[in-house]
Amino acid sequence: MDWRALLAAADGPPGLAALRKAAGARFLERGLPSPRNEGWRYTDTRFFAKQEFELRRPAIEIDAPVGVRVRPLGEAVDAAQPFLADEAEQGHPFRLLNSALLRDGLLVEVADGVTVEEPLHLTITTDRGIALPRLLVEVGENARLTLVERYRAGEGASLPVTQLAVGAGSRVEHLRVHHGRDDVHIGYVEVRQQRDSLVTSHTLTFGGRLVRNDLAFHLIGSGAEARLNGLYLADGEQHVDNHTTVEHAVPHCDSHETYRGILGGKASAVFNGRVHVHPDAQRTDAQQSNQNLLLTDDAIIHTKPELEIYADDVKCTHGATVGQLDREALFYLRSRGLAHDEARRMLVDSFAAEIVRRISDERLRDELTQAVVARLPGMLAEAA
Amino acid sequence: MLEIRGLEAGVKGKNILNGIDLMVNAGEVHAIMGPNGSGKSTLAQVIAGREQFEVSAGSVTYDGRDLLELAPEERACAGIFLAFQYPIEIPGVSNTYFLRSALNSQRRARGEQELDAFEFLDFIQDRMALLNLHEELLNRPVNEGFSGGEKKRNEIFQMAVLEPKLAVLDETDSGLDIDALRVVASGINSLRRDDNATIVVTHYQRLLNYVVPDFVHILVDGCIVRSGDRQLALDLEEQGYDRIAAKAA
Repeated sequence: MDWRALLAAADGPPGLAALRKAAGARFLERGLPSPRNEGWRYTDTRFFAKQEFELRRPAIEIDAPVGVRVRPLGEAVDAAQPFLADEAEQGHPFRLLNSALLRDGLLVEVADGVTVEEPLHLTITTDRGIALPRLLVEVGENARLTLVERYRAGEGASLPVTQLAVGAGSRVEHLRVHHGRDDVHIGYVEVRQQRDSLVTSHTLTFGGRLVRNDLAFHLIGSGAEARLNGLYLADGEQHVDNHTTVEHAVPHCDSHETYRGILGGKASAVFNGRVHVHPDAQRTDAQQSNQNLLLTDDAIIHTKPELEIYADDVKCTHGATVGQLDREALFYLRSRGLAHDEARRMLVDSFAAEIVRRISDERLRDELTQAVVARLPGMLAEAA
Repeated sequence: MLEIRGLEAGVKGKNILNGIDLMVNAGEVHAIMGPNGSGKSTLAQVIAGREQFEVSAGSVTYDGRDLLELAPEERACAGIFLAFQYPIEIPGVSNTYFLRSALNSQRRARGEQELDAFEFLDFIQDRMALLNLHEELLNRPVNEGFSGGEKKRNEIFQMAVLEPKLAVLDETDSGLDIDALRVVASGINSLRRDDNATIVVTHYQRLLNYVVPDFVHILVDGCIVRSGDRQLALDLEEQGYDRIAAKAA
């Protein structure tokens, strides 16, 4: 992949040219992450060097409910500036690349005090080539929004970045769903939460050749609460990497993180959950759990909590488990008459349901429950 | 109904059952008593088909079929039920969904019509009352957050719904206070019929005050050392396992 040529040919809204140029220079200087970089130890992106991807525009399908304003980025450059001020200095290589090629994206705004009743649905499709959509979401004070990002990819690579700014007292539910098989998906989500806001995120990955989800939560207003839920299903030779960071910058903030993975075939996955409690962030309550179900002997999970705590009056817990289907539970179900396959499916299904049931919207919950149910038989058959 | 001959079984080459002979006919209640580690629970689980235990000798015939050839779910569909000593918690699966799936699986195997959610709720109403179970427990995940007594009542409730021909109750009385014991025992008694049989596995005699057995067998070191009627359980309570076992030897 010739990045220099790609970046030289990049165009987009003139108002973003300076950012593209600065971010591009920094990206070229730093290059792609090396496996020697701890954050990329298990997720090798060096295939980008060997493979050519044509730059494509992603297809973005928008189903916007009443109460939310959605504009193409090109028509909202001025309004987008507060989101983009520091983008050329970011350390994450793919976030930088997204800025260096910034062209396709949306600015989503919800005004103060507005409750958006229906979810905002965004479906982003990349059939082939490489696409780098950017979503900027500004939720005012005391507002409510449910945002659904669905990614579908054929054999291409999507490198989306979403930035979510949540005003004081607002509640946002954010779903990021990736349906893939042979594609590459490297996504970055940044959430900045003001006082007394609540953001619940659900990151659901149903497979992909290489999937990496980075989530960075910044709790910058006292009383803010973040709930990070994640579910990843992978089989064959798929690879899914979830890296999360929660920055507790101020006192009295809560974060609750629950990630679960089901891995079959020779799939591999990474969970890295960093919680950073700054010196001022007294009375922080941070909980983290990562549980993994391995359906085969060849599936691999690398799970790592990273707690950095610089305040003394805090409650921080973390735990990780890796296991196989509980034989006692299987026997219990079978002893009641359930066939072996049905018993396995019920147990795996219930393991996944613990995450999916946290989605508030009933229709979305049903849709994703069905997506899990549809995905499991193949994984179980392969593992049998 | 059930005929066990010379049954030897264990784990990893170490025998726990050392030649069990037992005959159970329809309409009978058998109590199997024994000290800790005598093999009572192993016998119960071998009958239910727990694969962890390897059968190294002997035979088990159930309704004329070789029981040992059947998978646990096939045994369940043929009418065998094991009430677990430690019922398993299954987070994320509601009690009703689990039990309806199990019942329908058995009904399918018998060529009967499956019950939909509404028919099932009708079907279980009086059985819930029998075990004094609250509706709220039914909607909770299987056994999760249940008290010890609730778990045991839930086991007998499952038995009431699945209507087995041969029920094996493994230490169903352990951990129950006297009120819960009465509820569970009356549930068991009301399910007794001429065409079904029950094996009660227990360490103590007290459950047998409520569920009166036709036969009592004493299991020591994986062998039935004595068999008798109800009086044997009372003697055992008075004299202890050591003396009864010594007498047998």
